[in-house]
Amino acid sequence: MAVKILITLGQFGFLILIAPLVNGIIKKIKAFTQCRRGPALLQPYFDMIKFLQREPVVSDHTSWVTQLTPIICLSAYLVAGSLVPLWEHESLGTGDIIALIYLFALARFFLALAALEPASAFGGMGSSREMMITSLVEPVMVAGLFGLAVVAGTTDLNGIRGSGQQPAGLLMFIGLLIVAVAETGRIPVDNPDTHLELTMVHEGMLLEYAGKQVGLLHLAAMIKQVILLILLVHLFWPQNTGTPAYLALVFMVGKVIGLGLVLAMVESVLAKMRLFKLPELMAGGMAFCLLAIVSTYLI
Amino acid sequence: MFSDIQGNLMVIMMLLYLIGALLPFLYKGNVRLSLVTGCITGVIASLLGLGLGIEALFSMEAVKVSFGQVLPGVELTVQIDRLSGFFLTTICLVTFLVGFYSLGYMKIYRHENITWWNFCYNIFILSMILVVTVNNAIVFLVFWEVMTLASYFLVTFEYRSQQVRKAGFIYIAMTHLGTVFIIGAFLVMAKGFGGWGYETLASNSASLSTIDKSIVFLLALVGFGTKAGVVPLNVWLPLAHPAAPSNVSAVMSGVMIKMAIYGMIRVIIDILGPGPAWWGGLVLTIGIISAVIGVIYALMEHDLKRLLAFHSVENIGIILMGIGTSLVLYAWSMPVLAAIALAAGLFHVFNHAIFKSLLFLATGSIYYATHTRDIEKLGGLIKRMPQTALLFLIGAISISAIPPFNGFASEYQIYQSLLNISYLNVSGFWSIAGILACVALALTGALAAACFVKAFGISFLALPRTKKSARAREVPLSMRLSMAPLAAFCLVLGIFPQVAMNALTGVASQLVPGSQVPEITTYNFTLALVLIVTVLMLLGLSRLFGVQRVRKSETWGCGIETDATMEYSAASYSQPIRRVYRGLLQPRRKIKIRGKALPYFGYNIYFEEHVKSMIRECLYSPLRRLTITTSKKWRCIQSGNINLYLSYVFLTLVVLLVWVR
Repeated sequence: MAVKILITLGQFGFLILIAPLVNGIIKKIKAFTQCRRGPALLQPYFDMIKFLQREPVVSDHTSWVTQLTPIICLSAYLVAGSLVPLWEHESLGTGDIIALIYLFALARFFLALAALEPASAFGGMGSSREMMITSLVEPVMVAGLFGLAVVAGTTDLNGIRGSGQQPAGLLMFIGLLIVAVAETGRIPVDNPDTHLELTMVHEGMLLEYAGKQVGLLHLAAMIKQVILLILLVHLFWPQNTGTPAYLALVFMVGKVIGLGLVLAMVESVLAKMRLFKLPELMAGGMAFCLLAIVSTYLI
Repeated sequence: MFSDIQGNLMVIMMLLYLIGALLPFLYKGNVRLSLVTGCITGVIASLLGLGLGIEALFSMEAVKVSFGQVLPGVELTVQIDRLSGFFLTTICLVTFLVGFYSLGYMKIYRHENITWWNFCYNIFILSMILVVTVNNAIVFLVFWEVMTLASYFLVTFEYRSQQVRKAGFIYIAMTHLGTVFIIGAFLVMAKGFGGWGYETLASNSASLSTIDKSIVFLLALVGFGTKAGVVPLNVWLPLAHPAAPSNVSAVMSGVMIKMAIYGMIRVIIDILGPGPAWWGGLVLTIGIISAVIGVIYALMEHDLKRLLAFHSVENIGIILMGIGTSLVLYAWSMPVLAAIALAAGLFHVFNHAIFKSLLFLATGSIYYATHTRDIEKLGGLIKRMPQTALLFLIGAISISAIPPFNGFASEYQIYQSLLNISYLNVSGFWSIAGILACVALALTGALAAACFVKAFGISFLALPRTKKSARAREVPLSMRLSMAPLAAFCLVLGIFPQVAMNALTGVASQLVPGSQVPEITTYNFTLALVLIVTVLMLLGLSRLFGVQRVRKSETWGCGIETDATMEYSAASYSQPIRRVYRGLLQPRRKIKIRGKALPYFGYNIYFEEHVKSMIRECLYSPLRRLTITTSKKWRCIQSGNINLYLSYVFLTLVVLLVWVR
């Protein structure tokens, strides 16, 4: 038990440490493809340090919901992250993919509420769009993940390790990659770099946050991104069994960065979609997942 | 006549409800006294019922009390087995707290006829209790009718309003239509004349052919489905719930529509026994349709109680998904898995009773404080009613199936049961169907979360939109205190679902023969524990580093001072979803420009958008038109001439005599 708790705490620390790095690398690759030099690789860390020194300012109209949201978001993502095993260890065993999906929902629920609180139209816009996008993304996510769970015969995250390694897995991977793009708020769904109010979704919700609190929320978003990448690696490309833990961990980081490269390339070659074109994109994702599910039963 | 203590308690409970119904007539002039006597007697009776229900839920043998013959050949016998015990517990737990709540809440109706309300309310609860405990089809139907009538009078309590009367009419017309089907189902099962007891019906139906069984199944599904409010038979629900006082809606939505679920389980699983797999498939499909349609229409509503009514449709859909899964697994003779799926459905029945009555009571509190249910007129209530806000938020999180609350716990079990269909891999079709049902459930969950972010965010957060909302004051302590236990149940059942699940698999294994369900373990306790510890840890750390020491300042309004007209409204919040799902919702918009169309300023633009109920337009309106046109054609036989009518009677008699001979 003590070992498991230590591993979980270690996972929390790992996620917090690695998340800004992955974000930095994605930004660097994006800058490279756009022929820019881009910010320093460690810039997200510097940003985080700076944010965490600044005084938080909140709107007059807010209540404890705004105060609590950064904490709840961060906790929900950290706990969700601790469910996914990083190497061949038994994770704390506190949940499965269903719990993972709904922990994301917990964070989103509070963020969407907090966005409404300052009585500004931008927050409301972001919040309303986020919930609409979720209603499109979550079914695809469930189709993809449960499709794999049925192949593995369990929803347990230790049990579905590498269950995407089958012919239909490639289709499923594309479907889940679309989900990952949408969930991390990247182009073509949302633009993480924009500060133009009318196009923001995730950034719009954070608009009235400042200082330490916005730092925590940015950190939470980066952790969510890493969790999704780790999950994809865990499902489709896990390390061979028997690899020593430290080596598996290094490989995991390498593969997550590799997937980050894919995300960066996707973001570089595509333009942002119109908001109301998103159903078509998500229908595409759904089609990939369903094709994969159907083909596993036909072949 | 009454052999044991439970029997005596049962009789005392029933008498107490009758006293609670009749005693207030003595104090007709005194509103306060009549309310107190009626509610408190009802509350004590509910407490007794709660004890009986919990006892029956865990006991091996059914409690049986016989009252002798009430009609020739019809015996009134109360028999509380585990299934009845479970529903009895649900009814009594909710009505116990609603009774306390009513003491404060009914004050806003002090100019109405409180005595009459008390009478109907207590009779309503008593009839529900008898519906789930009698073991005879005829008596069941009698109390089913009493329940419908009592609830009809509760719905039409504010009968002076035209809208309320119309809602009441549609409610009673629809439920009576449903009752016709239920009677049909019992008639087919009774077959000949062996008697009307459930045991007789069960032994009769064992000899029925599969086709006859399927007919009974379909009749019961339609009949009980009307009362439960499944799509497309749900038209009465969004009308009747807002018309009734909020405490009555809490009981109707939290408990009464579950009587239909009880009826379905009793008739289809207990009496009929296993059937073909398509029964389950049909129930599952109806469940999915109800869940998705219910939640999408809920998103479009701005009246809090109509919104909650549509969520009842959604949650009944989720419950039916559990029951449908159970029927499928039962048909494949997997009794253990079937029992678990049924228990998952029952768990959602209980959870929905808890959080839905909590939400309706909290909505009642909003109405008490602001005299409006329109969320576009609310806002900023979290500052004025902080405790009600917290209670509403707990209900909202629970209904959105978000951990660590109870909605998540039961939806988790339903997900697992649906996946069991896929795991078994009976055929590719069913495996894919299992996953697709999960996808539909996920869609429902995401939309429900969106809906409750809207409902809570618009009505409780940001700035008040009207004076009514700005002047709101926290409701009396008695009302808050009666909601608090419901919220506590939401959390406790979310953290320890295995306790409830293990009790409910006991109920289910009584119904599904040959199912010894092993102890169920879930993640929830450790998940909730880790989540809470993490939140507390981070909260402590954030205090330490001063994240919570904030400076308050104005909201950035692009240079203009922010006011309530600038915040997002409920209509704008649901606009993206309305647009994405326009194929289903068919919104119609009208834009009018009035005045001179000068460039940039000087004219007013009016914007209107309506979502019409597709079910009413595509199903009910054509049916209504068809009925009216055919009746018009037949009208010629109705001349009003008494000689003609006498000749009709004579002709009928002759035809019957010829037929009988």
